[in-house]
This record gives sequence, structure tokens and C-alpha cells, in this order.
Amino acid sequence: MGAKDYDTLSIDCGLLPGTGLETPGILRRAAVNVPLPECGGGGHARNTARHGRERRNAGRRIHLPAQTKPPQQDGAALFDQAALMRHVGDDRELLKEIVELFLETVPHLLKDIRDAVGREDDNGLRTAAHALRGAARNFYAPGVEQAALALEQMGQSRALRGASSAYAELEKELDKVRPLLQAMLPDDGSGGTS
Amino acid sequence: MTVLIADDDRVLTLVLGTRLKKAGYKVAAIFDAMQAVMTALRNPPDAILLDVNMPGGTGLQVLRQLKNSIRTNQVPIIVITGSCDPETEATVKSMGADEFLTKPPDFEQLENLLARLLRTTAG
Repeated sequence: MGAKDYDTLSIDCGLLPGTGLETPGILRRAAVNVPLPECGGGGHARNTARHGRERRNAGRRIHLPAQTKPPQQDGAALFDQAALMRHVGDDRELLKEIVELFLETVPHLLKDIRDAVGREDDNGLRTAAHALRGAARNFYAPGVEQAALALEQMGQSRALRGASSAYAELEKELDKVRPLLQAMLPDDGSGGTS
Repeated sequence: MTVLIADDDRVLTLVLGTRLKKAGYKVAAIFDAMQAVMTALRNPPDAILLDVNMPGGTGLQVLRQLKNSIRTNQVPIIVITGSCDPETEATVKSMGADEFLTKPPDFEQLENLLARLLRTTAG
């Protein structure tokens, strides 16, 4: 989806690759400070009254209100720092710990994905890509999440054609996010930047 | 109150574990489905946060085993998953899960749910 405003998005839950149910969360996390009425992560429980009502009304289709901002082509679009800070309860020490853990884990997961693609191991690909997607979700990094989801779905559907280029896309997205996360680590051990 | 977090997402486990400890809970974290079952059966926690996709089995298998055991069938279980597939939610609810949240969960909401479920269990 490009930087164009839409008044309404109607998303088919049977989209491939992935499910339409995954899409709202990814789109939402691409924009900062936009309400998240739909299911798909972003910290909203499936069981809120509003959500339940929307889902009952929408059946298998999910309707989103107008997006107020197009995704920005800067750090804000790569990951949502405000959401990340809320996620860690504004605890900078915890932020440092999870950034370090993520940066430490990513190379192993990338290797697992690369190896799985190399030996055409669909289950291994699904598992490793799922793990990376889950980790990225904690940083509200929609580009990484979407790239990992594409690989996960390839593994899920046992259709690994295009997996190498999808892997390259994932690396590209991670290369964008990694320095931003590294920049959040303190130089002096004081617990993070302001 | 002890909360068992069964989830192979170590980043999320670290976030939830740290914040729950700050909120006064004791926390145990398990990254593997079979280990989660064994740990919960051996020493039943007051509540469980359970992922659906884990190594060593699935969260659904964990849920089934724990809800079928007399030792753990009263322990509230909140399923936290990356998928908001309504079928998954319906399945876990039908298997006895007390709540269903999507990742990453809003901590305040999770804390409120936990408090409510633990009050209900205690009452």
C-alpha cells in the first residue's frame, strides 16, 4: 500500500499470502498515533466490547476508518517508538534489555530462515519466520513483520518459490530498523536515550 | 500470586515478566509447550499466560492437558497469540481458555484481566 489516503479499507480475510486478519495490524502499525479498532495486535484485546461489536457487524470482513496519516518514509514508519515505550512501561532499562535481546537473537533466526530456504524445509521456514515476526512485533516494526509474515506464509503453504527474494526483503527491512534500535541503546549505561 | 508465562517469544516474555514482577507477581517463564505442562502440573501457578505456537507442542495441547487435569483445571489461562483468527479464539474458548488477547498485549488490560480472573478464582 502506498502513501495514499483511503476513507475505508475493506479487507478480505482470505487474502494470500497471509490472512486479511493479519493485514490491519500491520497497516496500523505503519502509522503512528492512529486508533486501532480492529483485531491484529497493537495491544488491543480481541474481547473488547467495541471490537466484538465490530466483528459481529462485519462478519468475515473488517472495516477500518480513514487513515489520518500516510506512512512516513522515515524512522516513524519503520517502527513505532511511542508504542514501544508504552509496551515497556517507559522502563528504559527494560527497553535496553529487549533491544539487546532482539539484536542478539535476530542473526540466529536469520540463519535458521536462510538454512530452511536453502534446504527447502517449509516447516523450518514457517517456524523461524514466525519467531522473527513475533520478536519484531514487540518493536512495532511493520516492515520487518510483513517481510517475516511473507516467509512464514510460504512455509505454511509449502510454496517456497520466491523465498530467496522474500528473505532478501526481510534482511533489507531489518537493516533499516537495526540502526534505529541500536541508537536507542545508551553509550554510558544510563539506561537509554531520551 | 504466581503467573506462569508459556511463550517462546523471549522478548515478549521478558517484557511481560518484568512488568508483572514490578506489579507484585511472581513470574515463571517457560519457552516450550511440554515443559509448560510439566511445570504447571508439578507446581500449579495462580494464572497462566499461554502462547499458541510453541516448540515441543502447541498451546492448544497445553490448554487441553491443563484444563483436563484436576490439578490445574481451575487455573485461569489467558491465551496470547499473534493471530486474531476468530476460529482460533473460538477454539481456545471452547477448550476452556478464560481470555484471548492478541500480541503484543496492552499491559494495563492484561493486568486488569489477571486481577479480575484471580479475584474470581479466589472467590
